[in-house]
Amino acid sequence: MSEEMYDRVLANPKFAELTSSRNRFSWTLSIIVLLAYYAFVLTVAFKPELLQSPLAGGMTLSIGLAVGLVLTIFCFAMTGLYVRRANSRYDTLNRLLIEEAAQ
Amino acid sequence: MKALAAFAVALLAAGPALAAGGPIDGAVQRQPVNVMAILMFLLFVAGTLGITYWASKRTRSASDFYTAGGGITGFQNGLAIAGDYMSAAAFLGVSGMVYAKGYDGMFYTMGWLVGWPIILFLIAERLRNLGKYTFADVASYRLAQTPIRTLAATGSLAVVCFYLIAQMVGAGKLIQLLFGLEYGYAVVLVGVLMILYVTFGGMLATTWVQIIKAVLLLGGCTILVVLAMAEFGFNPEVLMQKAVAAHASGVAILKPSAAITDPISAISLSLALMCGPAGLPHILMRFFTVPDAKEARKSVFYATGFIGYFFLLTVTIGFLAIVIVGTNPEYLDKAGKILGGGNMAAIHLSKAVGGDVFLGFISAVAFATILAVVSGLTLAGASAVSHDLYARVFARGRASEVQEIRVSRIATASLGVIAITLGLAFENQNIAFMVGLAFGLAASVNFPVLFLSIFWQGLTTRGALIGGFAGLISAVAFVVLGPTVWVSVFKYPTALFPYEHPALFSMSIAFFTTWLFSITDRSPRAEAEARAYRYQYIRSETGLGAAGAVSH
Repeated sequence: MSEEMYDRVLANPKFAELTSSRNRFSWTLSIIVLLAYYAFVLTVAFKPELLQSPLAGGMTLSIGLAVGLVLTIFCFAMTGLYVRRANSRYDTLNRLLIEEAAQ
Repeated sequence: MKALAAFAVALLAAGPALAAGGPIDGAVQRQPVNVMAILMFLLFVAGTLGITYWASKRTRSASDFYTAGGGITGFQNGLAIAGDYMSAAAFLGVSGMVYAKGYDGMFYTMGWLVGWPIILFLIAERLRNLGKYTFADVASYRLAQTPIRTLAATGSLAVVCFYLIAQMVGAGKLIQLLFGLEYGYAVVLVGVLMILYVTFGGMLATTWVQIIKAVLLLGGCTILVVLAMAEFGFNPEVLMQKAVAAHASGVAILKPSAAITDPISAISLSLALMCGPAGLPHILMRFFTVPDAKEARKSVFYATGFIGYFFLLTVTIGFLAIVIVGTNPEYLDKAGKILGGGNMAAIHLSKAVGGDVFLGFISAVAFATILAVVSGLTLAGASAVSHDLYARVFARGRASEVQEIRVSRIATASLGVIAITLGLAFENQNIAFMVGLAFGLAASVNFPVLFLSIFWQGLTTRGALIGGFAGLISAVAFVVLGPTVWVSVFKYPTALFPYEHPALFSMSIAFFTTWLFSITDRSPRAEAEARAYRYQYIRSETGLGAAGAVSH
């Protein structure tokens, strides 16, 4: 891979478009997942009895168990969201960028 | 002797991550020989050896050996990653922890799961774009090869060795429990099979062993949960009412226990659980087995789904066992403790709901799980020796591919022999701290170096080297001075370092020293390294110039 090719990529406005948009997306998703997870960790650390309270009056199924289920589905959904956008929109942009740099 | 054996079981209870206070109730007793389990296991061994034979015909180049030629699809790799991650420790340990303590088991599973989306968003595709065979390729991309590869290989080997010893001893104890085989036979059997898989079949065989095991484990757990839930009319509310009524702690099983509600412990543990996987060499290596960044992303998507599903099943299995196993005197001793130790909850449950045939199946799956995990670890360790230490450090890149492959096979066999020897030597030792140490090292050595080399232009060789070794030394020191070694092994009354989970401290030290010794580095080499970041950045973002898949 020649240095000129890298320089052409760097000079192409599509590179800035790709990286800034994708990085904004991936860091935003990371922060959302971390916030959700640390909200859970801090609840465990500072208000553990909250997790014990029933989902509805008279039930034994607790908020904590529901939180576990929801966090699991949430993590899976977030990976799905990222993969869908990265494998379509960002990869198309990426391919165009490399094709233009190869010319 | 019984107490020591119980400690080994505690190691399994600790799960793949940390040696937390797992369910250590009841000593290990050797079980009667379980013919059905042995038959099913032999079937698995025969099948996987067949695959190894097939894979050996296709494993010629270094790329074949390390990364299965980069020809694994995203879906297959997702299953294989899940397979690497779903160890017997996670299966038996988490269900055992829920059986003993209730909600604590769920806290662990959340930490292990939440690392995956983060790995996907920030690490996976950049790793694939920059690396070829090992994560050291990425860390040393623009830094000095010799010191950084040495650091990365040291970190990898340390993680692999501690993890391997823990798994070998755990395997010996578990097989004693499940099959009624002698400890020594079990350790040698696991060691020999793992050497065969890796030496002859390389990454291709290791991946397929991992995929088969993942399918068996997910399938087995699903059947177990369906059979057991049928007794509750598939109503989780009924299950939980009965679990609360049956458990000695009553409604407290719905609440995190005091062991994890100390804020520093909770945060430190959560960091190790989350960042550990992103520093485990056998997991990182999986990202090089797929052809491109697109497949790397897909593999994490599938892996997250399988792992999340698996953890929900194991937690459910724990609660099911509270009712079905915990109230059946057949599975309890006179004191009301579970027979065979805390890790047996899932195993007893399988017998209670599916009879001897299903018990045999689940036992065989547990053994297959250990075998697959040690194979992945050995391959990662052998790659660190042959690709990083031998080819890049000792031979300075002048070794031929044939020589490199030969060294990797010798390294595999040597690691296998070391694992067997140490597995036998540590039979009666308390090695519960080793799993925690492996994860602590992964989070405090490999992860900071990898993360900063990808994201921080200012990282220099000097900073990475000093920071990496600072992480290594502090992680080891905190574990040795902490409760798991200082009190449990050396029998001193109080620990010099109060926390069982040191990740918060050792990771902070690693990141801080790396930063400090990088920004104060004014050498010409440091300047060149900062300039080279530009090209590394383009490649990590676009995949331009990345190692592609080799077609067969």
